[in-house]
Amino acid sequence: MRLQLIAVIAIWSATARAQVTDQEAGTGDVKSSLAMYADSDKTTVVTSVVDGSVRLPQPVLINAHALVDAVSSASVDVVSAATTRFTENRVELGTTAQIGFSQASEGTIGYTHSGENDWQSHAVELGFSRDLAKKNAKLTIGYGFTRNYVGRAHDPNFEKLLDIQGVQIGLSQVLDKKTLLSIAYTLSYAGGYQGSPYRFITLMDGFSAPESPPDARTRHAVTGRAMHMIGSANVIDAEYRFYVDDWGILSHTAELAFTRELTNAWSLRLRARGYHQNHASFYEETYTMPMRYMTVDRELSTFWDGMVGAKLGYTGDNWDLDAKVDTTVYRFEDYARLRGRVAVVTGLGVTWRW
Amino acid sequence: MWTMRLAFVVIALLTGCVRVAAHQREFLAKPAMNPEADPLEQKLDTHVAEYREGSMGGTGVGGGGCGCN
Repeated sequence: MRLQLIAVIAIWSATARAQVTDQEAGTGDVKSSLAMYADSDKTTVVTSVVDGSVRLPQPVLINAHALVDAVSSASVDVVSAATTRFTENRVELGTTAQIGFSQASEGTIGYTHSGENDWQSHAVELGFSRDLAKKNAKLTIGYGFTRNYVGRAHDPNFEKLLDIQGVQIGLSQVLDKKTLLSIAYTLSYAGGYQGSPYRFITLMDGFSAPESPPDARTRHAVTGRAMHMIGSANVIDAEYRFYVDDWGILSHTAELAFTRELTNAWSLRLRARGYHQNHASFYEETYTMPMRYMTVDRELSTFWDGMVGAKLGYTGDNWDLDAKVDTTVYRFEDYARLRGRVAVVTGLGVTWRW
Repeated sequence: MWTMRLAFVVIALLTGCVRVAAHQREFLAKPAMNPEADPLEQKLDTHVAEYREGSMGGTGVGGGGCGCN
């Protein structure tokens, strides 16, 4: 078992965000962030990120980032794979260019590479956005392609491919002086090896077989989001996502955040998030006989999780500081080896602007 | 699919009706009203959630695997 990158290409509809053409050449920022994930299933992940952007004389914003995940785990998945605690590092490097075509439209092109000892991935992204109705609305379209090379530690003969493509269309709209509404739809298709080379299924007769999920997966997600300012210093941010795929998973995600500007410099955000999914159609807690498709991946089981968190932010003249704590409780309904876990994510970030 | 179509129709209609001028955007311009005020945090949060849940999407496109290996 190992941790693998989800190379998210954030192309969120953002009416409030300034276009590249609105920003002064030569300006930029650098953010450094340190985050730690620790859960009751004996897994810790320490993530270090440096992310910087600079605006060129032409209406182009160049961004680059470097990320390192240091993973240590002795979870039930690892123990059931007949291994002890493992540690490994994942290194991710990425760059994007945001190009302003006009005062109202811009494009994005980017590339991200992620590498571990048994997984390599290359991701490209393309995006286009256009302001509409005198910047009261914004249309965003994005496309991403990722090629993954999946290996297995200490087995040079194990080599599999996984290709993932995704498109997204989003629209955001200013409803009034204090309200912003967004909606986005994502369609993605994954083709290739989608199992774990370390996960085996023990059948009732004592024999074991590698898990065997389908090679193709089509996924749909629709997200709606509303942000509203109450008074002049409080913001309510509500989001809901509906997700369904052809593996039989259907999920609902709801998130509510409240941000208060304590002073001109300090702000406090409180948020809560809830998630529920049913299991994949071929998932079973135990298999009595070999099936064409089999998995005991708990991420494909029926479960729910709930998160609460707080974030404190400081905004200075040319530097920002933020610190946060999120706590998540997971409950697995049909995964006998682990009925639940508690995870805590802490983070600290510093941004310098010039 | 009907829900999605209806949502797009409603938003398209709203797009044609709502006009908030630049000088009226005092509140919309505040950092707390920026939907991507901290894209790095959003990326890390999504990374944590998508590795531990069976769902993804809705906040961007891309891949890199399902985190199941």
